[in-house]
Amino acid sequence: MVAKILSILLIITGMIVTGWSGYEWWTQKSAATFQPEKAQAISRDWEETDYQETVNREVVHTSDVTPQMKAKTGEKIGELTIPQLGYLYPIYWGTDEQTLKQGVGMYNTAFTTLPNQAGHTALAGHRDTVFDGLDQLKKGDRLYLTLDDATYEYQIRKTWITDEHDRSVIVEKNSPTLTLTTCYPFDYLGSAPDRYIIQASLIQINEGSDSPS
Amino acid sequence: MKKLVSLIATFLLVFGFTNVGYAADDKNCDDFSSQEEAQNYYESNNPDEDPSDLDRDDDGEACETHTYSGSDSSDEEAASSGEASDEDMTSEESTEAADSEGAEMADTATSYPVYMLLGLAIVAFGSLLLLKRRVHS
Repeated sequence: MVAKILSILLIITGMIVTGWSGYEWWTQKSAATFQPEKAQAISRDWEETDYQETVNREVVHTSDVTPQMKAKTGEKIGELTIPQLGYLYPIYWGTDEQTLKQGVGMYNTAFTTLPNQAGHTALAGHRDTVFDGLDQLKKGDRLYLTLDDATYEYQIRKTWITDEHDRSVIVEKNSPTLTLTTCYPFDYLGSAPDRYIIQASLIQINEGSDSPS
Repeated sequence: MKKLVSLIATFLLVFGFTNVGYAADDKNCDDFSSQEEAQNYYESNNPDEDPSDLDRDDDGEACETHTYSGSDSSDEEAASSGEASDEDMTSEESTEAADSEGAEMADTATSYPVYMLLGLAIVAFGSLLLLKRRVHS
């Protein structure tokens, strides 16, 4: 009798654990919306993987007076679109645990800047929720970052895998760069020991609301 | 109370003496912390007969071939601790250097898949227990 109660209790506990983590995982995963048509409508030449020149730092700077991020940590600041995967991702300010639960986080460090400051912009996302499938991206693919009515078009220059403590990734850059970091290996259980890095360069800026939203 | 005290006293006496007796019985070179100590013991305990056989080659020097870690070891310890502090220094330096290089990357793995598996394992275990029970009854 005791064994029966115990086993039923175990089954219920297991179901609660599975259900709760499954729910959390699902809600966090669905922060990224899968809408290939919308994602691919962001630009006519999103499929073009030929090498494009990196935009000059000066060109970016003329567009605005040095902007400051007024958002608080965890606030939504923009959107990342990857037509190649058909996904749109909300971007939040900061990369702490709570922020990354909501979606993609933008690094808030002394080394990184906003896209309109022409420095190094870096984003982080969970490999098993929002950034699932990021390893399918290849050199030449394009990434679109929408922030304050401006769309920044980046082209992937290289991808690599590094150690989680590598401090040579989130550094100052002289050319406008976008870096995506996520954990690696993608199908590893538990906290992964490596990081998957995608680095892209700014190739075009579309000011105003000419990009369909 | 008196009885207890006397009991403890006897206990201590007996065991204390037996311990000393054991120790006095036979000494090895290992029992001394330095060659001088062994030499002193050897000289004060009937060196002609050398009951503990500390001077095996009978040259009047006890345990001269035994390597003592006494003063030497303290040097070694000091050296090793010095090395350790050196290592600490370098690691601190390296982290400082890393600090100037860039920032640490964010932790980008959730533990939900693990929890899901864990939950399933618990369910499976519970079901197994229940099934086994049914078969038995």
